[in-house]
Amino acid sequence: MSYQEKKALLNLGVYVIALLLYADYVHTHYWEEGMTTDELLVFWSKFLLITIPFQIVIHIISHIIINIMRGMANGGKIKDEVEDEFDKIIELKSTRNSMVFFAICFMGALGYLAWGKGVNHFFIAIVIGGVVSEVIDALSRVYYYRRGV
Amino acid sequence: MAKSKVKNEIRMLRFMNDEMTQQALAEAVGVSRQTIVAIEKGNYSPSLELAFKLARVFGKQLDEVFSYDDDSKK
Repeated sequence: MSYQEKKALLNLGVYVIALLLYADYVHTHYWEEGMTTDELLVFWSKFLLITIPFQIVIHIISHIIINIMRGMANGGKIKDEVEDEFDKIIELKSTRNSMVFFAICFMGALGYLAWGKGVNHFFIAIVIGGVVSEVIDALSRVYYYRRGV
Repeated sequence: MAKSKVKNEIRMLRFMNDEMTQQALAEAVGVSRQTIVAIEKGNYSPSLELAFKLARVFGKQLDEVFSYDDDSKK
């Protein structure tokens, strides 16, 4: 398995574990049964607004972990990471795949709202869509690195 | 993913150049080793700029390194 494939999978692992821990923390400390629609909107809006910078921080941490592991593997020497045209094309295609999936999930979530399923279903569909789109992004990268573009 | 129709002689040219490593070639043209592997396997068609750089490393013309293999013409 190449460095780029390992990087994609490690990024995904760190992201999913961190998000699960964060979701568990929020659920334990802030979730209350019987919230009104207005309260639910405030709860989910805060959850999503905090998730975005949280996600960025997690990606930075995972980048640091990867570089430390890479340095250890190279006997303490950290080589400059080369990002070339092949990497850029793969990044574009993977992002396209994950965004298409997320857009479908978003429309599905709107469908929940339209059918009167409630705010919780809408936001849960958005969160699940976000996580699965990250999975698709990572798996697409691995696929394209192995099979080519 | 369909194999590229652009064929190349990079593996043979590396061999002819004192068995140049993929890493050395990658460093010479400023890409990662993974990219050289993908080009050699025919999994990726490089940009014109990279193709020229590769040809220059071996001191060859572009068409001596890359060729277009179109079955429909046969």
